[in-house]
Amino acid sequence: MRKTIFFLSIFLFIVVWLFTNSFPIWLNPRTPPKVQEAEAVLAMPSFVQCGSGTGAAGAISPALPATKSVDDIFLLFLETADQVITIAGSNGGTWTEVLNSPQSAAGTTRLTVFWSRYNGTQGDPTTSDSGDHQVGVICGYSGVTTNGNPWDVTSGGIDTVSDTSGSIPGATTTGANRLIVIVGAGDDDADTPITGAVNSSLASISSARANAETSLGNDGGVTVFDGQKSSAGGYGATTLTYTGATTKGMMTIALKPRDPTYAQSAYRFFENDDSTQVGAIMTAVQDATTSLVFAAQAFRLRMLLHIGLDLLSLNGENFKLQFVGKGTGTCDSPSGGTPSIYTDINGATIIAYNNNITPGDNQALTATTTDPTHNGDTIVNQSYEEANNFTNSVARIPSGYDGKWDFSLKDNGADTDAFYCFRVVTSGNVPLTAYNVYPEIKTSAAASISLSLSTTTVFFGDLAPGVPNIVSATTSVDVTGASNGYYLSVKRDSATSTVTMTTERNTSFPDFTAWDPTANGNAGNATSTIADITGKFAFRIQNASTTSNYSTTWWGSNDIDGTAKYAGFPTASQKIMDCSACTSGITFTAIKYRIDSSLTQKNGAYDGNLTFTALVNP
Amino acid sequence: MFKRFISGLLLVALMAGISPIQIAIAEDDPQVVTVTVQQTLTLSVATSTLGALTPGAAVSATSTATVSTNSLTGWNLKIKRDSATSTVTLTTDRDTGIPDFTAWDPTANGNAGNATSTLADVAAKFSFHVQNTETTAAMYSTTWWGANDTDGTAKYAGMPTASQTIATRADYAGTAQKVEYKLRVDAPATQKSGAYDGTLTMTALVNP
Repeated sequence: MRKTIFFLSIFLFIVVWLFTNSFPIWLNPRTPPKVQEAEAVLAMPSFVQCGSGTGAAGAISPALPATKSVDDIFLLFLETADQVITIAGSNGGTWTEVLNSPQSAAGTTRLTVFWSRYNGTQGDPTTSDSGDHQVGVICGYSGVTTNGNPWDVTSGGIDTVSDTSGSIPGATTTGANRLIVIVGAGDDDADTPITGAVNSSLASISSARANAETSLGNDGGVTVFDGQKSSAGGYGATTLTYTGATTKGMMTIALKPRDPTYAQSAYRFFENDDSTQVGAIMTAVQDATTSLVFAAQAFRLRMLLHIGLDLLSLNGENFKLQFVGKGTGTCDSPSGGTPSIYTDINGATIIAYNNNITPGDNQALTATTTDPTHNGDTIVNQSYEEANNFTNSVARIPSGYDGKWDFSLKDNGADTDAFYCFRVVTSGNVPLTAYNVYPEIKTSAAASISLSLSTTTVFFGDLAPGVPNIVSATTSVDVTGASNGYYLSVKRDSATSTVTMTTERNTSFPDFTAWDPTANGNAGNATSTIADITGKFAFRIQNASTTSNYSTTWWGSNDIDGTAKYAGFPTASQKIMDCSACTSGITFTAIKYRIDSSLTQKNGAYDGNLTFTALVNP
Repeated sequence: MFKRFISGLLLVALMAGISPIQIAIAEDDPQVVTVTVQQTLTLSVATSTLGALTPGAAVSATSTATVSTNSLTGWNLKIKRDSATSTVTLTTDRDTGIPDFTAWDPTANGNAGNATSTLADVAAKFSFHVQNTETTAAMYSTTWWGANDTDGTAKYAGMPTASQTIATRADYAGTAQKVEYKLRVDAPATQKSGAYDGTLTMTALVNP
């Protein structure tokens, strides 16, 4: 009974729900929240920790921060009585003075800054003894570029007026996400030499990251701050407030974030298409070498660059596409090809950019379902490219994603039967972080053509005068690399007639009017009137069985007498078939020979030679 | 000097924008055509009517045999009468015939034939003569049939019972050939009156 009531209640609930405007089950929010896609974006460099500050009349050994990781950047801030100080003992590290260091307030104080990239084993460095005193501290920063100098820009300023206010000139960063390290030095030994830093251009200016001071000698101290500059551009002057009146040496150091890493991760070749779309796939699977079919062939390369470590902001890096002749080496280490080293592609190189009529360079590409993929990574479609350089002009690419570009290329006189590799580098010629794949093409074989006839002898046998004999034969032409196809021509070898009497060569067998494809405005001069070819030797191309480009204008719309057109064999080779689309493979042209003898044609054996020529179209 | 000349030539070539040499890629394939034209030969002749014959007054009629052939070795034309009795016999009495002159034998007299130019020989007889006038020159034999068609020079022969050659040529003739022949009949006064007829068979044969 309880069960019945329970199920009845459920039933009623559903009925009411269905017939009362289906009130929403989900009320707040009205639709289920959309799952947001998380982007792995590395922040700007971050402060890690500073070691203990130290000061002495003689050399000092400022401590490295206790917390540190390989590739962290250490900045060693030193204050002296405007005396030169150096790193006397690097203790396994490499210390280099920072650009715009030192900043000297004449005769009173000097700020000197060194930097080192932590190698995982180095210890505390030891300074030289500058003379009067030295005081310093080392601070560590993570997420800083691992290539070259750690700064984008630096600035410095001095103030020889002894007071509590200092100003450091600003600078202009060339990229986003810079951590601006702010340091001031003075000849004052207050516990906190500088109490605050102000700069409206910077966000999140920290409290003092470190203070180091000494009362030895003429006194001195340094204080370190940092602030954030998230977008590229200028930042103004920073105002420092000192605890005690002092002359000053000051700097800002804009630390660069870690660079995104770029890896060629996947590719696929396609037929060209005059659009931001591509043509048919040229390989069954992606990341496979393809072979061009004919010389001067245009093709498309769609390639993925995997972005690692950091976001590639919009227009974040300029790249260019290069190619190399693989030669006897590999794409990673080519040898002996032409060109022998990776070379920028342009419109005139032997592998060149192909300028399609419709799409313009840098237009957003149109994705296809056959585009390359990379381990399930999200693909950020970028642009169609027909010229170097290129960038991610369509959208930014988060770390862990792949950007996709579409390159329009062509064989522009490359060697035949040769392998060429492609790679992307930055516009500054810096190779990518990794080349997991190298797109590779094999150019077409040298254009070749072979012709064979189904029979080397057209044997009519006995010909009763007044009763025409018919024989058919087929030409088979196999071409490769013929970008404009081929044409077939024919001529008779005898000036007398196609066939002459075997025992009396000056006895001719009448030919119908010699074929001239240019006659009648290129319509040719073949006839469909059988009476015209009565008692003569004639030929035609058959519609049936011809797989090359049958011309109805030249040879009639079908093979039926009365419609089919016949011509006589010419003494000079004349084109009987032209197939510009026959770029590769085997095509057939069927030929019908028709001979008819008059009653007075000398009886006996006749023979003659024809010469067929298959020629690759220029 | 030679190097300078070559350099200059190259420079001129470059300045003139000479196109790269295009190497034609082609393949030729020969094909033999053979045909044998068969031999043909056609012969056409017409009926000859001699009309009314008064004994002692010869009548004659001419007719033409036309031969077309593509034979390279020429051909020959033969003639014979079909009746063993005589060329023409009385229609109502086949045992009665008009006498034939001596049957034509081209091999007689050392292949000069046995025709006669003496009209008295063929008086009151049936005879024939190959005419010079309309016969294709290459087919006419003056030895056999006389230098012309004038009586006294023209030679007459009798119809043979077995085919005998009356005209021949040994080479190819690209056009139709004609052989004109003249039938001559003369009856003796004693020849039974009435209608006479007979058939002749002409055979054209290509030479082997």
